[in-house]
Amino acid sequence: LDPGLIRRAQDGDVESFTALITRRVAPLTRTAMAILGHEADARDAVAETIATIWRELPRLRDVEAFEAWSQRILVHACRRTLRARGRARVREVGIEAAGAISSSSEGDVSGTLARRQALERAFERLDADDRSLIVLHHLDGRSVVELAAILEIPVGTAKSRLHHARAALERALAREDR
Amino acid sequence: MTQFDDDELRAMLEARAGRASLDPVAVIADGRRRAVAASATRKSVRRLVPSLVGIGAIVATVAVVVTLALPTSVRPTGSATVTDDATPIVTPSAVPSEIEGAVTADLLGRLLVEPNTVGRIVFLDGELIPAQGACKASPWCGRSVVGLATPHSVLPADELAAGYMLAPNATKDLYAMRVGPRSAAGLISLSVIGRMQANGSTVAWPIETLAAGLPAPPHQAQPVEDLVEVTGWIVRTPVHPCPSTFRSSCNPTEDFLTVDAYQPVRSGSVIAPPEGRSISLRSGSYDAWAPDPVRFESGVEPRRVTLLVRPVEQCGSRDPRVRDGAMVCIRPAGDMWEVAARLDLPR
Repeated sequence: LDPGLIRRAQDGDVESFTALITRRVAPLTRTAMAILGHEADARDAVAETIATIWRELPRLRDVEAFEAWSQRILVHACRRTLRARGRARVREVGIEAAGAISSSSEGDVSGTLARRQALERAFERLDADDRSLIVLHHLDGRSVVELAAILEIPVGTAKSRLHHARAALERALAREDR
Repeated sequence: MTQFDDDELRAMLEARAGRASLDPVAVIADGRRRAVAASATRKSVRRLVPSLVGIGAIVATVAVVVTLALPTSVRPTGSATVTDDATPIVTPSAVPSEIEGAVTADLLGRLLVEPNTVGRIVFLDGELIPAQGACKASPWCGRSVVGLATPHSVLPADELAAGYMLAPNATKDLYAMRVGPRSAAGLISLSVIGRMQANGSTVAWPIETLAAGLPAPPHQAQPVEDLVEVTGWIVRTPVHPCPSTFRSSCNPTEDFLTVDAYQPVRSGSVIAPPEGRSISLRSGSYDAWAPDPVRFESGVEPRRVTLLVRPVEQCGSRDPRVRDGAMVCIRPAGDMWEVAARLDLPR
């Protein structure tokens, strides 16, 4: 992202902010959808993130950190959304999964698909922090160092939390298998 | 079963992330509501909210437009037209020598923050796409939409028929669109007027070229009609009597777009503009599209205009009135042009 563009947006230039946020909407939406798994929630989280970015942008000192900073805002928004939602949400089934199941004869559901669904159900059991770490690392490709920057925690702590999140996912998957 | 590898995990997350069909319009609309709500309680935010309200809609639209394929330097220019078919035309205070500015994200951004943009014409690169699945989270779902550059970014276009959206051979092209009213959420709507037929790197065509015969459009099967931009003098002949036999189909006046400021005159029983330096327009075009039409003796004063016109067949075998027997032609078949929009009115 162009630092000059960010600085102009910081100064209140609407067009610059528009250009800036336009480049971030798609990746933010993708991350939010992976963490939350629910379209309406993802939309809420991204919208809240955009509003927060606009409000807080003048206080961002290091424009080079804009991307990590905006992702941190999104993670916080996702955390708030998940906590507000609780654990009673009905899980949505993807179109591709539903189609595959409905078009398959009994007992012919692919093992890969069933395993992916089990993995997703296990992922749904994780809390917001664990989900965010796994999504940022395994989907967005963030390194441990980048995770530390996004979450504003020491690198060692980021590594430890990522290990913990993955272990939690394994335990949740084990519960799915029972 | 309790073990999984990174590829499995990534595949699950990819499927999960790609499940949504969120479009920027819906996302931004939500963001705006939140910002407005916050403004009620935070004085520091209140100052910024009006801008953010505009930004919300801009982002959604710009997300579409920034992916335009043609370089700006060769993209045909956008217009400053503020005319609507049902709106009386006023005399422009100044007629620009050329249409202002290329259509860019900046222009769409201005449309969203400026008042009174209804009726303005813009040119946009894009592709007409099926609406199904493209607007799941959009308040415009169930209405015809036109997608520009990406099927996940949609803009409503109320005047589109469903058939347009389902055209199997729709291609990415340049479309003239009219800005419609805003929704309650402040988003603009755009309706398609037609696809522009390029003349090299522009969409403007000389009258002489049109008079000699326009090349066949490249997409004959495309249901959206082709348009060309042309500048000239619009004029109407004096009223002349129609033969009683053909009174039901005869027009008492004829309209032309000419290279020169041409004052129609009667020469015996013939009323015609200079051959090769004018094109025929549908009857009534002068009254509908000339700026401040003025009668001059039995005719009218020529008016300089820049128009979007589309070819129609007059008195040919494809003219439905002739085919249905409702009209008998007293002239040989010839090219006739229909005015779709006028481009040269001031903002």
